[in-house]
Amino acid sequence: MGNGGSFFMAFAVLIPFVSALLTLLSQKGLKENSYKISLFFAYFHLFVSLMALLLFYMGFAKEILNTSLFALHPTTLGMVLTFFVSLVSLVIHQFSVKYMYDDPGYLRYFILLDLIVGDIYLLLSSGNILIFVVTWHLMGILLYFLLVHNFQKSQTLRYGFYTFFTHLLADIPLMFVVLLVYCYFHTLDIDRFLALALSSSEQISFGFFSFGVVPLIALLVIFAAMIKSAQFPFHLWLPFTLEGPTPVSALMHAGIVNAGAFLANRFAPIFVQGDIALHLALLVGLLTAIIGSTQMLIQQDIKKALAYSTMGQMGYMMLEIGAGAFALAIYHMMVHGVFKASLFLGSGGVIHEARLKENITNASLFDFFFKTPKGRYPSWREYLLFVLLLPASITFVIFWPLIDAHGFFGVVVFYYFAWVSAAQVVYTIYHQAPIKRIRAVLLATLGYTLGLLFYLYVEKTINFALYQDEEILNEIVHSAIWPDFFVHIGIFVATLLTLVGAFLLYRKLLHKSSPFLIFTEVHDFLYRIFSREFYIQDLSQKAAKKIVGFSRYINEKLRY
Amino acid sequence: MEYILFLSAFIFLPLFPISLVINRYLFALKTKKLFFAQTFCLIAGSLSLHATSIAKNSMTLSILASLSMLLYAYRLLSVDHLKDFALYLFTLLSSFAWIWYLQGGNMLHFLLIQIPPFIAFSLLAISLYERFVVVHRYSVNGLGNVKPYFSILFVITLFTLTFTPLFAAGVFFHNRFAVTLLHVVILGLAWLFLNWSIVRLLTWLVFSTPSRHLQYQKLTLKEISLVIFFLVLSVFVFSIFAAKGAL
Repeated sequence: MGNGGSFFMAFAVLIPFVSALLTLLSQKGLKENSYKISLFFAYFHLFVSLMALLLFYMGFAKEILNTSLFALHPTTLGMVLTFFVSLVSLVIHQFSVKYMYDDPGYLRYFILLDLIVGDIYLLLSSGNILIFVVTWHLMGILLYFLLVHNFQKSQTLRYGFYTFFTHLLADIPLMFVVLLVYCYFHTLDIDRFLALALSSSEQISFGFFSFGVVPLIALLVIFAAMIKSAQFPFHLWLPFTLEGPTPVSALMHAGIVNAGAFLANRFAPIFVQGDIALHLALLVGLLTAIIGSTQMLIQQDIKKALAYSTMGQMGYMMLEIGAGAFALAIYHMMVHGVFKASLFLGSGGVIHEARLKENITNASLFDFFFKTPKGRYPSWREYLLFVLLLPASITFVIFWPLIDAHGFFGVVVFYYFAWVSAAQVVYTIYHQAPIKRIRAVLLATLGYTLGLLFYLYVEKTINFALYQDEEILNEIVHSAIWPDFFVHIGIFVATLLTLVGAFLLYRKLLHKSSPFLIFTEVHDFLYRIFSREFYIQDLSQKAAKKIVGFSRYINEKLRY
Repeated sequence: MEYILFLSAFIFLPLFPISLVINRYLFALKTKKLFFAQTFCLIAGSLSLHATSIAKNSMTLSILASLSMLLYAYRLLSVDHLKDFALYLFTLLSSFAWIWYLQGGNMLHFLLIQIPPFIAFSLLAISLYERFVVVHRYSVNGLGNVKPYFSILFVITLFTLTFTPLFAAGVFFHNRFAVTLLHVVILGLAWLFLNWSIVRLLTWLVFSTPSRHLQYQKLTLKEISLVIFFLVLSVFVFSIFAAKGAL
């Protein structure tokens, strides 16, 4: 079973590439029906990855994990994610059959889809850092070709390039990592490097200061993860990908954007010495979550709103990594992937229905929970109760017993995080005036409570499944801890902002203007900044023009 | 003899500013001769450096080669003419050959890994020039729609060209770290500009709307076979040496 396990993994990785090749070669014979080959192999791969996972849990883990073939080294994390990606890929394949049917590049689309999915499997199974970087780089290239599917439109090409360039930027830190790993640890095997890194105290000198090699690698890994996972300010490629076909957006938001989290998890042991990297991840994740969620609120386009929602979720995910909760990040990534892909795939139908009918789809479930002939705007007391107090109370009750197990810091972070999420859910539901508010809020609260409980208790399970070595996990969490002073400041600022926000909302509900002019000015300023997406696109376009312009000037002067 | 070979390498693999002189003569050649001459220069230069070991640890030459590579990668950004693209690409690869040599790399590896994709690129470019005479941003566009096999091969060739200048590849095969952080940053930037310029080239040559006044002919089987042969050779050799040297 030893080498058999690895052959199994190699076989599983090769399936999409074989599928792409056969789809290409059968084009002349089968013509439009070549897509069936791709679809068949998508089903087949799901079966194979499920078998691999079952074999693993039936006790063949030791044999599978202790072998490697052609630098493929299956890990628990890789196998779980391979099954997950396989499932998402199958759904996307099936959806694309009808969605892309009339498209002139129909078969090209399926071939590229197989190639990118195969590349992801290779990334997940790679035990060699060089192959890891090559597949990481290839992902950006293949995504570019998928996104410029409708390449007759210049806007598609422009946005596709932006995505490609951002992914290129994510490749560079990883290339530095490969150099450092090879030169200081004399290996390209990931697991061997991770084992050596735990006890390494080597320093690298940059002239007047020196830095630890492992902390530097951790920092570079986090940089690469942040760029790939659309952290602020490298997030604009996310809404720009909407120019591509909807199934590609679904695959991207469900799979590709999570590559950063996978990278951080794969190299998790290095974060024992990577406290700076973890702190940076937490800060950037926090900023991204706030900006992404706020950006989502001002969007008029449903798909753009979903894209910014993904940005917010990626921010939360990076925040979890920064807090040392790696397994939670994986769980978050998978759950988010599934629901976001379903939202994207369903959004097309909603838009279509909205164009045909005055009111969006009436369904019995919607009628029961939401529709009401008479509506009124809720009072401020109702808002206070349902949006602030109810989620806070539920979160407090669930988390109070955990203080001993997780420590004060951990509980406070979870508490605030869960409460803000819940308040957002309940506010969104409660804001829809002509709905049955009580039923809708109860439904949202029930869903939130179940989700929170599931989220909480699955953490332990995933932790144990993915990371057997609890000592390393504890050391990572220890690295992630901030000094008490910063924690207290953070809690104070967050509480103050929440109260100010609640106060302003209360005044708005009473149709009163803000008590201080500065609040209006700040509001207008922030709205301008957010609506122009922080001027990042404008600045980057100007910078690109200058760079290319100067290159043209040099060419004119030098000629040869 | 070593010194003669070393000096001849400066002619065959010109660095900036010698490249300004060499490229002027190369540019004056007809298109087919230009591509053959560039390929010949890369091969001859690589073999010359392989036969010598002068100045192998020279930091100055290493920085000069890196800056030359960066300059020509940057110049590629604003190119609208395929001939200019080929010329600057040739100089970029020449600079990379010097970096490979100065870092102690085996020039035969460079010959077998880096030059075949350039040969494949040259063959495809020649096929375009034979059919269209002038290949310019405003004359030949949108080949993706009308010449799909050419487009696929062209895309694969260009990205294969960028893979091996992953500067890490140049230092893997002999266990030496690039000498300074500045050196490494320069190469990273050069790689970034190279990829940027390739996507820019693809945008007008492959992806835009096809020109209506042109007649498009498919690649012949011989042309396709030759291109695929050189691509497979490069990837195959790279895989063997990567596996042997790095694993």
